[in-house]
Amino acid sequence: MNTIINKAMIQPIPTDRYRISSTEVIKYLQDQLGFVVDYDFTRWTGISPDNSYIRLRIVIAHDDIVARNTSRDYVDKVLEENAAGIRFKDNVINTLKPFMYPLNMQDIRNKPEQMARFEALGIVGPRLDEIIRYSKLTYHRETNSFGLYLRAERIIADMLTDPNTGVINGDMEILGVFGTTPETFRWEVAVTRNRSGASATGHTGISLDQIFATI
Amino acid sequence: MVSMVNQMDLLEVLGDINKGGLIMIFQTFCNRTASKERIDVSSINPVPDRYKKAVDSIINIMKDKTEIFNVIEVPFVEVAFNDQDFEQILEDKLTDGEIPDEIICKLSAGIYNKAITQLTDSEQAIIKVLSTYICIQN
Repeated sequence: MNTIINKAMIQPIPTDRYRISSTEVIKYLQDQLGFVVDYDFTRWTGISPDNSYIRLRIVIAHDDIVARNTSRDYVDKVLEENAAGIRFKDNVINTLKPFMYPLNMQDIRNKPEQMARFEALGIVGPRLDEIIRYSKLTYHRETNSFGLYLRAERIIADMLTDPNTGVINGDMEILGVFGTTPETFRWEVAVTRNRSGASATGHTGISLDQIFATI
Repeated sequence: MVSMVNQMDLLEVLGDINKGGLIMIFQTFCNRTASKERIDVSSINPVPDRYKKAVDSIINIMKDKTEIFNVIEVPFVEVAFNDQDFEQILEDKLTDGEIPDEIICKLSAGIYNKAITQLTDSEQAIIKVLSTYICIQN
């Protein structure tokens, strides 16, 4: 155990810090998928530079995601507008799903607490509109490919998951996003390891909540 | 129980990795690391509690990747073999140095949806390496 150097001998909170680059995020994503995607990152500034959000767009080639027995003609004729009804490869969808925005993303406007958080991060107006629009796979006929917005923060959470337990060893928090170009964008992430909280029981052995509730 | 790991091949792999920090394509790594002997076991018993969480997690991570093992890297597995004296760790942790059949059978069913005896040699190599990885880590 590390020697504690402070006057009150207060225990530090064990925390692991990570700096994760956009390059590492996209490499991890492509390693999960097993194929290369086209992508870009854009940083949206929120109420202050410390409150920013990095938007991740990806484009997937038709053959990488559509099950083989779904013909190109079928896609062209029936499903130009969106991807509903196409038979996708299960393994690709299962891999993407944890990184996608919720399917009911449009309902977010009815959730004030989440909207407040989004507003702080600058995800409002046209930015929110495009996230809602592209939260589902969208077919692009000219390039015969599919566009999708993904949650980089969910990819990062997956990157930091312990493969032996399937969970992150603590509470993950994105402390900030930095960088000025897509190549230099990075997330500063902290994982605070779980520890037991202070005792809420007094010398009487009775919960302090119980005592104060009866005073 | 057959030997899980072809030691001679593994030493060659470790040499490569130590020199260049090289992470291999996962199927290649497993083919080179696992023994060539066929596994022929079955078990209807549950996975021992000690390994249950890890087995479930590994299945969850790997079950959608069976078709891409020949193109992706899985660094966390390779590093476990690279960084640690895994043979000593296994000897210390395992009863008689044996990997429980239940781990092998559960991984096979969970990842390939087949019994271990129905797997190809390449598929068995994946299961051998993942079973060993789980025992190293737990």
